[in-house]
Amino acid sequence: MAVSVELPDLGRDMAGGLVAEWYLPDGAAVGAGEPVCRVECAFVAYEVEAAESGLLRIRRPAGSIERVGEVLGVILEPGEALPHEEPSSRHVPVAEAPLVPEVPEPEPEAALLEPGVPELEPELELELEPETPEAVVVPFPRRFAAVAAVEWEMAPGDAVEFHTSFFSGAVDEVTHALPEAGGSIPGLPLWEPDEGHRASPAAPDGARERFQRISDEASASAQVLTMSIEIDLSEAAKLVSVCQREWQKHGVVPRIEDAAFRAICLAIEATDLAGGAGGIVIAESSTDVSCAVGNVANKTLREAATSRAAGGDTPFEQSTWVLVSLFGLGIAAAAPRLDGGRTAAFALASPGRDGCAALTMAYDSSRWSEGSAGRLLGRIRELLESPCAMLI
Amino acid sequence: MEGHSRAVGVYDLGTTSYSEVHKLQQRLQGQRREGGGVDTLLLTEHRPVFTLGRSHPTPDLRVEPEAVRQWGIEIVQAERGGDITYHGPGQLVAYGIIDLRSWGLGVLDYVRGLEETVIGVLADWGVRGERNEAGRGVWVGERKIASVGLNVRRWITMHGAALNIDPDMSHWELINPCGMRDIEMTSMATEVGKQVAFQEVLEAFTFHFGRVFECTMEPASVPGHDVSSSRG
Repeated sequence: MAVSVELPDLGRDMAGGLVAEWYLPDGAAVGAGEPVCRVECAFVAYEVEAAESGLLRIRRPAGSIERVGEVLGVILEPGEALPHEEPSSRHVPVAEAPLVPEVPEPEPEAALLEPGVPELEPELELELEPETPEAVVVPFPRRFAAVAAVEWEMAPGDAVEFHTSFFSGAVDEVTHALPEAGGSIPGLPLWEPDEGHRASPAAPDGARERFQRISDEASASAQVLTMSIEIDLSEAAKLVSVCQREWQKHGVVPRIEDAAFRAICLAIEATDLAGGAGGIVIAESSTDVSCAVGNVANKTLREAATSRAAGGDTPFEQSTWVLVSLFGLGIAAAAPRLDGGRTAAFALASPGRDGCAALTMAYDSSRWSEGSAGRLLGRIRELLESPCAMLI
Repeated sequence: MEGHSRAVGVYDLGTTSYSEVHKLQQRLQGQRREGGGVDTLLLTEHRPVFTLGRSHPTPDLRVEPEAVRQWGIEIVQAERGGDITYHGPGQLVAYGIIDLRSWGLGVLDYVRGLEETVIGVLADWGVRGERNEAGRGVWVGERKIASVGLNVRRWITMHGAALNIDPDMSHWELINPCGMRDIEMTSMATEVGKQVAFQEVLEAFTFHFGRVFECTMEPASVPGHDVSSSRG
């Protein structure tokens, strides 16, 4: 009788953890009570032991984030066949695998980064499906196609025009090379639409001088600075994938924006900067959705996502900071406009092929120092790239 | 409520090397796993050492490894979670070998209890310690004063918490503690503004551990081990 190796529940609303290391290779013989793998959650390393002796078959590779109770592997008796996975798994059991791959159920937008989600161990994969590779999950096929069509045709310096209530005519440039935290582009959001903000390296000399003058004036007087950082979103995508399975019973579909929203909230709290209600704007190709979540620091990831999905619980105008998501628009970078008396505005751009996306922050430099802002962005990156902490 | 049916043997080990206490922890955890031994709290201060978490085998240093060697600081791999941290004289390290299942406690509840214990100690010196979403451990404002890190097997813990009483803070400058850049460490002496007696903090930690986890703390001595002569 096969016994499973499961992700333990370490208590306190733990939703999942990281499969940090398998101590034995797939197919190895294990003794009862022998540690087979280590899972980590926050600052805890838990060593999972084999309940019985037998043959270890690994189902979830090291590096994957899994929910509590997930079967990470099984221990078989000699000669015993590998049991089918539970129906809740996203992997297709071999007996039910269709000859022709079916169109999978749509997953949240975060699954755009699906290549970063670890799959089964290669040898196990080959055994289950000798010829058919793992089905590629294409979320919202039409939208995926639309995004893909624009994502790679734009070149640095191209102007992008899109209409959302939040940007209200602010047109930003596509830029691929962004400065690391600590660099700043003074005054960018203060430019008038008909002035220098459209200037590019190809602009006439007169326009460039005008651009420079306005830029100098802005940097001398402006209290709004912008700062950008590149974030690898592949781990956050795994988090979203885990939460999606965990939250099914609550009817909440998490998005990558929820992870980003939570990370920003935690970072703001941690740096002791002015927090308050957070606003979120999800810009789509033809429309945008905006709402605000109040008392956000005291909400868990799921509570914040539930509130976001329900349209927020606070008037948007009362948000003290706002996250604008361009995740699905195929825009490599954009500077958000800081208005409405807010302390900061963040724009999450679309990820590139490497899974990295630019997060740009406009902030009121009279309230936050440049060092604080840099630390804030650095903390957001840490949280999104090691998102286990956000599960608690 | 379990009440005081929980009992913990408390050992003050004085100044120790990381590796000797590590071996002791492994032995105690192994005994406890097999159903023997007792729940134990080991209190010590280590000679200077950087320890690495299991998933971060490469030290996250702010300086060249050669500079660390010049300081005479050892770098060792630990089997706890988390990233690099520092232990050294002037820092109280508390290792609990606790059977959480017999206490009816989840691992993360235990971590929270360790943080609560440190917060209680700090309050005795008029310092307001808090949890911080930036990471586990205990913070004073934006500065981190205590770290936690655990290894758990069959619901028996090892490792625990480290509270900065008055360590050589320049050693912290050599690393990115917990892998976090821009993190600022602090100590009780810094926050209080005067010297803080190590032994008094050790006693306060023992008291608050018993209070938080509702257990009887039973001081025990290590045969042939004179703490007063070993504490540096």
